[in-house]
Amino acid sequence: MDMDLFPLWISLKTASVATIIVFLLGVFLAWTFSRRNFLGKTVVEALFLLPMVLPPTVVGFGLLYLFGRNAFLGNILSEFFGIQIVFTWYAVVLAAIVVSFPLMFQSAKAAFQQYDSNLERVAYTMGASRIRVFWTISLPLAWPGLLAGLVLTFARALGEFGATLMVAGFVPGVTETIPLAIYFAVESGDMATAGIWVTIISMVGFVALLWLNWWNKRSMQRFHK
Amino acid sequence: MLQVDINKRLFHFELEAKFVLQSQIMVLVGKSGSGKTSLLNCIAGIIQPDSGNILLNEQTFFSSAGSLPIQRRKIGYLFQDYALFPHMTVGKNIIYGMKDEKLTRRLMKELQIEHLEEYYPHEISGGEKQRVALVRALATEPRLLMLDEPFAALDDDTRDLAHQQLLELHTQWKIPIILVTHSKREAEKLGDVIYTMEDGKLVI
Repeated sequence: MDMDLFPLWISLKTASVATIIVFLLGVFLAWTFSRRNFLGKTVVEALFLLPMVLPPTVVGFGLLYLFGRNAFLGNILSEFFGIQIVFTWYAVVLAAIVVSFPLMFQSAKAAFQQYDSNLERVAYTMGASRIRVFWTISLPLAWPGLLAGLVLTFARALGEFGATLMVAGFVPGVTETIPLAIYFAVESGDMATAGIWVTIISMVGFVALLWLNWWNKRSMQRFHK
Repeated sequence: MLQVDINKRLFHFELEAKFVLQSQIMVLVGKSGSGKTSLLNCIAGIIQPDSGNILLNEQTFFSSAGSLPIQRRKIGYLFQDYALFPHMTVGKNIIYGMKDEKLTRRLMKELQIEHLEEYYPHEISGGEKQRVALVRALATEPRLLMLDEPFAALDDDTRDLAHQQLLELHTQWKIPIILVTHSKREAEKLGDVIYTMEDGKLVI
């Protein structure tokens, strides 16, 4: 059977780039939010988590509204940087980032709250800077939870469909991720191709969750031998 | 010399503390939730008082003009549960804020924890944890030592030994020490001055 592997490549590329961006952003924001209090914190947090409860079409609509050709951010990016977002690969990445960010933020926040914050405080009393405390105390202690968030983010980014379709459309070879390939294969009655993609993406998701469970079990035993 | 004169609104009451401490051991007794740990946290810079002053050896830790960052206060603080870093060996815990290796080695020898260097905190006993935390705090060469119920989890024999060691260390170091305890006996044995904390108010 002749089948191009573009969807696999685009999906993996998109999920990897989105995961890196979401991981860095999510960890930084979660650490800040779990250690500091400021006015309007709960409102900002609710906004961060909003994509998790909204239908993907609403997220897609929002992104179109912000990054469309005549939209505010879309205009700025195209005027000053010559970058067009909608109906390009950037839109695929953007959609994946927005829908997977809440998972990373929530996992990271839980990870930073699950150990005794006196461990950081005692490090400060010993003269350590914030950066040193983050690298030597916070990050290693939160690592199991952060890694869980990373896997969930990757899986979510890989499976993104609704928002991607709205903001990136279906451009074969450019924005054609596995979920989009499945949808359009079914639409055109090509059940065999759809079946193969379903098998591939299910296997990737299954392996990710299997690994996550194994890792969770292992990290539970880590400091409690 | 430590000079404290602060007010801090807490959830249930107002913390009011005023005292001057030379190079002595000050023992703070009082019921759970009376504000003892909050007072230590104010001095350490973990929480900020609403008003007042904190000075150590003429250096201002806190005043209406501002607050000295926690990292620059040079305080040794032993938390109630010791707060040893669980992912680091005893050796790594101790060198985290170490100033002088020779001094640290000597302390490890004096407090008999040299043989524990390669162990993780979960592999050692309560008494050993307490000694490791004490050496870790002293290795930073603090100008003030604060201990929040450091002997609570120890058995009687280990506690007596720990008392002895603290008194010896105080004779050598000659720095102000604030010790929080529930035990009146411990307070009388170790304290040069004893204060009682009642609903945030400090009474001698």
